Amino acid sequence: MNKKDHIVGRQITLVIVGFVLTFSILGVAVKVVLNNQEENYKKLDYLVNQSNAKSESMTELSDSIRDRMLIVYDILNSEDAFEIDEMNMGLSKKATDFINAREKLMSLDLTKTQIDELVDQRKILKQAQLLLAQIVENAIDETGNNQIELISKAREVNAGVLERLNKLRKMQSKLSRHELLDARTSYEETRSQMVVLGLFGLAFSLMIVYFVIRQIRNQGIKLTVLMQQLEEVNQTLEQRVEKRTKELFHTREENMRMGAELDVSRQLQKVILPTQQEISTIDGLEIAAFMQPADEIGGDYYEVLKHDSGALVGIGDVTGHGLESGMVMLMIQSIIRSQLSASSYDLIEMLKVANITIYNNVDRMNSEKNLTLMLLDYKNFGLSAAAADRPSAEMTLAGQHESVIIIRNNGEVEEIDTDELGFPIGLVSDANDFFHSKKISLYQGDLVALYTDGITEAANTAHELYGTERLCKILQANYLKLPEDIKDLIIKDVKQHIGKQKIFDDLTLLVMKQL
Amino acid sequence: MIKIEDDNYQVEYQPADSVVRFTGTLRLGGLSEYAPIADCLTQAVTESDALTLSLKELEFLNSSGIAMFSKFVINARNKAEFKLVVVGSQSVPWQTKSLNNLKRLMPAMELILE
Repeated sequence: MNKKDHIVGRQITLVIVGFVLTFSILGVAVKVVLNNQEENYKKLDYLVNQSNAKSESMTELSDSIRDRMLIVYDILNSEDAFEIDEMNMGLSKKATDFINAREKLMSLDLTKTQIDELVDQRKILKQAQLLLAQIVENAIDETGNNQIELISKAREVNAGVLERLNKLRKMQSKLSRHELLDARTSYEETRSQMVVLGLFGLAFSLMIVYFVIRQIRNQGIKLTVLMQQLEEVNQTLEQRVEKRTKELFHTREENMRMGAELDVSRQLQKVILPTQQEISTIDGLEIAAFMQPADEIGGDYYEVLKHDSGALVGIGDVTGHGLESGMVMLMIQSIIRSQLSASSYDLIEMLKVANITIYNNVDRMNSEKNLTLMLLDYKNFGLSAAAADRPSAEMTLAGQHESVIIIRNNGEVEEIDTDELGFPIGLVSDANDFFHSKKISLYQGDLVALYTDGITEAANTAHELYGTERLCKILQANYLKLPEDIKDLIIKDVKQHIGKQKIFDDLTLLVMKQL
Repeated sequence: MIKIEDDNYQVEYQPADSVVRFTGTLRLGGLSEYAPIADCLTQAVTESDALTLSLKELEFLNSSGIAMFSKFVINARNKAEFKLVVVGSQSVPWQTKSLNNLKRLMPAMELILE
């Protein structure tokens, strides 16, 4: 908001400066115009005064000449000596008047032509003066016969003077008219100047107003844009912060949830596995088991359940990973174990029950988990049957899982496909027709390997799978060794194959040897 | 033609040829996310008496996808005189076992593993 105040302050300053400038210009203009007008008036006043004075003087001059002529006539007509004397004095007075008027005229502001004219008149005036004086003298003396001739001459001379005076008056009149015209022109010029200056001032002030308005509008627009941008940025920021917070919260929540789920799943997988003690007490069968969960929990399952005549071994792989897979694994373990505790059990029945139970449970969970599951029922024939050429045990296989690999005591490899022995557990509600069993005799020294696809599909950095073939070869090459050692060798080989690649799936391996 | 796709997969149904072609990797979360594809397959079954599913280029299918196909096959086998052909590839790891399981659900289905 500080910025806005600053901008408003600047605009106000600008407006004030603009108006001060406009008024200054207008003030100067008015001052100039007034000065000009005053001068014009003065000039005009002077001209009028001068003109009047000149006119007056000239009238006085004419009058005195005319009066003198009249006095001369009166003198000529009079016979009374006193009267004549008196009139002669009047004549002198008129002469003085003429001189005064002339001096007065000369003292005025005359043009050179006028002065020259006046100077030129002197001679004629002198002549007229002399003539009149002669006439008057003659009249007084009552002499002379040429009086009429003299008067006529004097009249002529005076007429000349009057004419010249008239000329002078005309000249003056013309001059006055001219000067008046000049004054008017000057006045009109001043008026034009005033109009121009006024217009200029008006234009200037309009320009300032326009400029200020434009500035204000531009700043307004800029401010609006800035405000909008700021608002957008704020909004985006708010949204981002909100989103990020949510994400963080969600991620933390998810991490916590996943972490908790991972822990629970790991626990589920671990706690339900058969103990070493259980595994090692099966008559006639030496078992080595290995399970390593992947970074993301899978759903591998294996089981060894001892019973009166041997053991029930199970291996399976629940699809996907996470808590749900762990739960399904737990369910399958319970289903198998619960049926084993019944007085008589059947692998096919077990699988059927497992299928419908898991199908219904998974359906309730709104999940699509299913699993491969193979059950192996091991029956030991006991020491009495122990002989190299006779089977010392029998195993019954049921359920679909990875192939079972058997290395016979002579080193021969048998790979038993289990696809036809079952169907994914929990995939379809009615899979009863798909479960079958297969009996396989075991001889002393025979080696049986069970595993999940975590072993055979273990990939290296080049995405090459470990494969069943390689597993068979390493089993065959080491079948005489102890199951524990064979198991370790295989796991070492698989891990070597995986190298630096991430372990994607659980690794489960069971190596069993008929004793 | 109906087309369902995202960055990872493409499902294309050509009613004229009665072929539904799958390409890419399908890892949708649960049957609910597979519903549009399942609906498309159901539509294809109702529109014709024969249908070919081309899965050769479907490199991966998760368990929900296998569940979806299993349910589809179970429904399809209820339609009399319906001929279903599934074309898969032996070089795609998941297909051999899973497609064989589909055939076991519907023995009348013709499975071609190229």
